Amino acid sequence: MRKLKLFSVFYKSTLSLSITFAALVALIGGKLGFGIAFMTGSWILSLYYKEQTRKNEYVYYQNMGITKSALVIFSILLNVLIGSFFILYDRA
Amino acid sequence: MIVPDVLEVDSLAKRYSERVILSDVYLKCVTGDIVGLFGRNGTGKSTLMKIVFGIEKADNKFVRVNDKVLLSQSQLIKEISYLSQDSFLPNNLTVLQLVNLTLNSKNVDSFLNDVILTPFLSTKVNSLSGGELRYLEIKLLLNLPSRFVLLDEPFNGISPIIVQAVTELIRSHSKSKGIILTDHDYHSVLDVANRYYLLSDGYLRTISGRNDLVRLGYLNR
Repeated sequence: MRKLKLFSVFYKSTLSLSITFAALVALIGGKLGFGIAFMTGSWILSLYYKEQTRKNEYVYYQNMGITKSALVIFSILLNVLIGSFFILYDRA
Repeated sequence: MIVPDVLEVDSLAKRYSERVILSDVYLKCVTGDIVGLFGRNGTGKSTLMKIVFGIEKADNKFVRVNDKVLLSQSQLIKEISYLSQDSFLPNNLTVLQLVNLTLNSKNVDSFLNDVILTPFLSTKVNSLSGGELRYLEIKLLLNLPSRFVLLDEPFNGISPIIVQAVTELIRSHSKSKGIILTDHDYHSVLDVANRYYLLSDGYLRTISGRNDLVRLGYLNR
């Protein structure tokens, strides 16, 4: 349970940039654009930003027993899942 | 009787291009040890700690805990905690949120019964002063269930009162953990540690105290 909370805190810290980027794409591409952007550029941008500005935060999660690769994979998978939802919702 | 845990770092080697940083390093730390690691700037103290924690690659290394070789980073971070030189706590949380997230609920009350931290419980981590933040980081790490703790510059940028508080924390937690620390505040390191090493020219030497630091050129006199 604690690990899930830690993953959640990390993911939330990447969300504002992810959503902002996808929302900008949605201005042109609608829900489909939002979904595709969230599945691709959003996580690339937010994880790149994290790497450039708050890279050392990974040490906190490592101290809590969670590796950096686990955090990155979790974030990508969740973005892909949420992005897929928007794409399917657009087609429905 | 409690059997002490043993951390051993063996045959550790690291070079950056042609420059040898660490050469065949052997380091041992047992529960109850407070190991002081000295070395001039750029001698590889931080690199050594990062390698032992598993966040930096070595050309060669064996890290063992109780004779079991730990190969992967996920194995290392279960047994070892690490205070990096730079602050590392998620800065969008308050102190109270962070403590609740980090510690088991049964340990939270005793953790927060602390005159240094009490005024800042609802303060966001990014609003703490450097000294308060360092104290919080060190106290959190020492309260994790890991058997060994690596502290890279725990006394850096903190006031004398916090230095004293950190020293007391380290001493009290060394009863149940092995602790390795390095800092340029050599007075504090000499004061708190009970075993010492000096890292120079890639080699780690066991030393007995201040006189050896002078003899081996770490201090002038």
